[in-house]
Amino acid sequence: MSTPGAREAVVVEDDEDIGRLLKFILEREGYRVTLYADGRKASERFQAQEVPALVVLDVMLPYVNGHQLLEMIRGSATWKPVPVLMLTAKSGETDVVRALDGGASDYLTKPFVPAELKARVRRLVPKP
Amino acid sequence: MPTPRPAIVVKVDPEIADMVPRFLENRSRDVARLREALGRADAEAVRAIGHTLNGVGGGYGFPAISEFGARIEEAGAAQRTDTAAGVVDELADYLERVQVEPGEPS
Repeated sequence: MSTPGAREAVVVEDDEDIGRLLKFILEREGYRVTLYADGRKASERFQAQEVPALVVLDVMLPYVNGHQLLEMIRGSATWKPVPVLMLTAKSGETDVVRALDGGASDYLTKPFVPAELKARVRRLVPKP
Repeated sequence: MPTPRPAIVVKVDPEIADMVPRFLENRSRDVARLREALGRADAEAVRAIGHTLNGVGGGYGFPAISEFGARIEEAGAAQRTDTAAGVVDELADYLERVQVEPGEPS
């Protein structure tokens, strides 16, 4: 359950179970979570002026993939400073390299344990 | 009368315990989807479902499901549908036997 006035985390993940888990964990960390299940809907959000405190991006997404979304974020004057955590597959070393080269702030390989997600998020966005 | 097979007890983080029944229901659906894909010899669909299983299991405290997923993904990628079918049977057996208890994940 998120609290009113909480910092926002935008999560882009097409798998229902992983999306639900990410939302739950981040809400427990005090975030208000906006979840997008495909890259196209998320890309529309990246046109907005209101920016979140954190973006979590899966790599493999319908319509627009995570690398393309990262490029949009880093190419936007408004969104550029937002920390982005990329979710990659265990076997996706090339995705990790591409994500970091593309400006991802950090990455997390799936399957991940909740404690690792929390630790990485806390490092990217220190609690006020 | 056949001897009942022993339960597989998995301790899950109490914080996410309420989400686990739905998670396991979805995995049973994955078994059905995998068997459908195997029935039509669709190795790419098998690989993709295996990939998803691999990604999702550990987060909920079920590393065994991730391991089954990795093996299914690998077999699908190599077009070895017979191998994948064997792992799907192992996964189905695991899902029938698994029992969840709140506790410190091992």
